[in-house]
Amino acid sequence: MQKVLSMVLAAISAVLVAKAQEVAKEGAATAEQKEVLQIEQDKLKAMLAGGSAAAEWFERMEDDRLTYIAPFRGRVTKAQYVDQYRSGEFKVHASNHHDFRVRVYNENTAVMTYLTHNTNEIKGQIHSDTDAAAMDVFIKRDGAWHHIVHQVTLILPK
Amino acid sequence: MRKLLVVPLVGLLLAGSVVAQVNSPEAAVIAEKQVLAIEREQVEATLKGGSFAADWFNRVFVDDIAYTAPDGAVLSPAQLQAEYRSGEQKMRSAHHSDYRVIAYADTMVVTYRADDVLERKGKILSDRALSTDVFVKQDGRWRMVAHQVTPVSW
Repeated sequence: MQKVLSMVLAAISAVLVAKAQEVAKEGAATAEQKEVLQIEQDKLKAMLAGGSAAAEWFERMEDDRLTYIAPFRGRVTKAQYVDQYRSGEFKVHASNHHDFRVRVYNENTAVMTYLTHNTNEIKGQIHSDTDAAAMDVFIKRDGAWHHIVHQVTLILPK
Repeated sequence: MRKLLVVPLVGLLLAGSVVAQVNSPEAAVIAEKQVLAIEREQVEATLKGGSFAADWFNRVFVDDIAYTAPDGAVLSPAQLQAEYRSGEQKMRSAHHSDYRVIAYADTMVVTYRADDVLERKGKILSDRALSTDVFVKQDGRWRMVAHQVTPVSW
């Protein structure tokens, strides 16, 4: 089990290095962009670890007034989001995030967009999302980034 | 000489008070009113459509806005403006409600319910959705840096 987890984490690290290169395609990634990408890497690890580890990570990183909007679920509060991990009601089995783009404004606001395809377990049922467009917004406060917005929109077939 | 020293000192004090005001509850109330006024303008502009809407986007959106349409399409401001100018994208009706505004110093997050009928490339997209707009203050005015629409049922 530990071996599988290590392999998954190694794969995530490799993917995130590629992501940093994507972000930096049009020039060197700034310190802020690298910091936000690192948070994304940590988030993926936490999501795949699930349970209390995920709950504690989100508890720490997310702003208490987090804006979270997802298809089928609508608005979700931070407390609801954290609880669903802690209770085991929500588990992420696979997560493929790509096409990252990070924009930074006033050195204290970062908007990250990416495309995603997740396989999740919700209340014991496996859901494989179709492709979706996701956005995360962070603000820097007291020297640390805080997650303030997460929104996902399903991509309709053309 | 004393006069020369006083002028920059007054300037520094004023600058300090502006920073303090940005983070005060009073400033948050003012900022909330300002971004809600922009939201009202956005509805008017999209309903008018064509070049009027395109010019409004050009004025309010930053050049690299993160813009995600209800069908998940990620559009650049240039694409969006071109679609409005050409009539490829039209807002047939727009009813926005349940606005919620969260102030983070010079960043504002606005969410709302959108019951819109949008025509894009000949397709009618009439989902009910939850939308988020994110604003940052640049050169003393609010600019939209992100707009995302997620169809949901309620």
